[in-house]
Amino acid sequence: MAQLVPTDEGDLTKVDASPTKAFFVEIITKDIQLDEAIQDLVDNCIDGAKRLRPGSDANYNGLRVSIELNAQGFVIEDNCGGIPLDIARKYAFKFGRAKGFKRTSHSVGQFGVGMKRALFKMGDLFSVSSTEPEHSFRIEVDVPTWANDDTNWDFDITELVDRPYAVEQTGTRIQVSNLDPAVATTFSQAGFVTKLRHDIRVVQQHPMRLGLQISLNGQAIIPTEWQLKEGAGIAPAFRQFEDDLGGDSPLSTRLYAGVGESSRAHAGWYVFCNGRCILEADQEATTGWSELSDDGVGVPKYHGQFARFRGYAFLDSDDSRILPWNTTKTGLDLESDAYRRLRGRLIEITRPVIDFLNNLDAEKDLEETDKILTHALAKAAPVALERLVARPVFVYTPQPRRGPPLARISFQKPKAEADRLKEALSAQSNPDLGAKAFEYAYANLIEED
Amino acid sequence: MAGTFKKIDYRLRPAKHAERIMLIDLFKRMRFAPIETYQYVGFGSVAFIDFRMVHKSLGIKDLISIEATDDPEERTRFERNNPYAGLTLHFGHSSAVLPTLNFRKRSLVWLDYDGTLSRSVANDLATVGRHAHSGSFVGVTFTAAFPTSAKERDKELGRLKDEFPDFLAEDTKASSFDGPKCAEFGRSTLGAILEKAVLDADAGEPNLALKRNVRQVCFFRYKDGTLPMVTVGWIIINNADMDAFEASHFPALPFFETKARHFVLQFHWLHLSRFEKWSLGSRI
Repeated sequence: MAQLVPTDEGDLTKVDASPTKAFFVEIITKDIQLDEAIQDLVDNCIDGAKRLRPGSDANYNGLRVSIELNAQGFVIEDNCGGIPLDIARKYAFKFGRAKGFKRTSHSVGQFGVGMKRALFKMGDLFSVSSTEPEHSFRIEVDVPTWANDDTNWDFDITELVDRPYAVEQTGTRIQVSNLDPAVATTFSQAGFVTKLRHDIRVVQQHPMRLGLQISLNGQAIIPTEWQLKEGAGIAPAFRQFEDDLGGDSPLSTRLYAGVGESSRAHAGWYVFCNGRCILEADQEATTGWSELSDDGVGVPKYHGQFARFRGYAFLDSDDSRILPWNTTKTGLDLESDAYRRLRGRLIEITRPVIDFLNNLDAEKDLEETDKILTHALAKAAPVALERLVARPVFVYTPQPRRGPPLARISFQKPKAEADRLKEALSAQSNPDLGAKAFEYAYANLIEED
Repeated sequence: MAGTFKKIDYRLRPAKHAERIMLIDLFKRMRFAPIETYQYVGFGSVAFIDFRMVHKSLGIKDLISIEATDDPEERTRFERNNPYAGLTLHFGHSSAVLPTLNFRKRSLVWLDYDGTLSRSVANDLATVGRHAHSGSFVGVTFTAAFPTSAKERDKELGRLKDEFPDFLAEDTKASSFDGPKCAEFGRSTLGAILEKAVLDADAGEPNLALKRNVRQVCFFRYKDGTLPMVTVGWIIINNADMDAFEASHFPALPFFETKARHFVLQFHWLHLSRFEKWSLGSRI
């Protein structure tokens, strides 16, 4: 039995520094938002999928995660292999990572706190049912009862069945009832469900693109497409790096930067750690935006011309400890080595795109025929990231001009005079009259060499 | 950068000439690898003067010039003026060209801007720093003039605060940039940004011998025509090459401050007298 009690109450050389469960539960649930807590549970399902089908580009077709929530309760269920009994007994419910824990390669679960934190956050009664290839079992916890006893930290396993199961039968079901009143209120708000749907769509886009189906209250979530515009002289940057940061595995980084549709809400950097989206549409100092400038003009994030910027950074490692995420996976760990290496690279790859967008913005006041970048951008087509070839910087190569450069001339004259001249020059329309008048004047006044 | 050649007559730039000679003296002291095996990266302009000097004095054949022009006619002009087969011209803004260069080769990089200090200058320097091989030199030249009219002063101060928010407090006064203080701000700020770029690029490097650092080796102030100019130069060096750095004995250079306890933090302000300009100029 795991115990956290003062060693000897009669020993006058010791002071009691052991935590109470109530304190523990309060402190670990304090700094996490409800939607982040649910994301943590989805992360656990995805780690199950990764154990079941290893590799960063595995095929997850047929694997499902379904989430149901309302004012009465919360259920998340998957068919991703189940929690192995041994892991459940020794590690999955332990607070923090125990020594000897064999990490899931390429995992998104990292700190050993996500599931417990999420369950404590939501309600007073939770159960975890797992069917894995060799066993099935259930763990049910009544939190107030458990928290009353500060000496025993164990959870009880019930309904343990020791028999083989086919892979298709495996999976995990987590249910929370007796919801915290504030949580129940939040779960009954349509706005929360909509936001959660959006967040899952962004954060879990990588596993969903690999085939994992996620549904929320019965509705499937469709992953977003990652695309950058290419063609008509415009070509996005794509760089790869491999860093040895002293971990068990190297850190591999893929950076894509270029332009997409104009949308302020979607412009910026998207940063993924082992497929989990950590930053969405970021235009803050974290991704170097405060340090970009062009010809003395700073780049405040609200400048409309950058609404076309898109950047995607994928950081992957089988050793998830070296990835630069914070414990809630909602931001980057700014002190980490991986982040320090990343930031300069982001600035470097962003600058040429910013230069392009500034030049594009400067075309606004030009004549239509002189809007070279605008026209090139209109012709460029969205291309999926997987189809882009390596290129150290974003480039724009102007298309060769066909024929000599053209000038536009426009003027106004009394209509009666224009009509008479139109007749004299056999012109069909006013623009035709202008062209014919110019040609007439040119032929009579200009001598060719 | 683009267009400098239209503004300044290169035949009438004695201080610039002296500066080039001093940099070549500095390059000759570098003991990290035979200097002729280095590549030289600069903003050549139409005359390629520094390229010619580097080639003739140091025997460097691998030369790279960055020209920020897209105009086909100007490109042709640059191409025609190219004096060497080993000189490659890269057309485009330095921000787009520098990341494409191969800095795995030891390099002498001179980012010789004719504009004022800007974040763009600092970002170019950081790009070089991130990629530079140990034993490389990187120098930056910029105009260190702070305006004198009240309106212009406020505008320029606002610009600098926008571009260097980590280095300037909100209550910084325009008087902090008068006279030599403008150059000193550029020296210390660029040095700090370069150092951060280099240290961050090597963050987590398990082999301590390969961790790089930055040592300032020169700091010139001079007038190019009427413009007050500043050049700061650094050597980027890893722990394994520290002996070679000592062997280079940069403090022996007359324009290097040798008395300092921590010479890397020291700088030398060079004001060239007419006689000095003449005597330096007569050496080639």
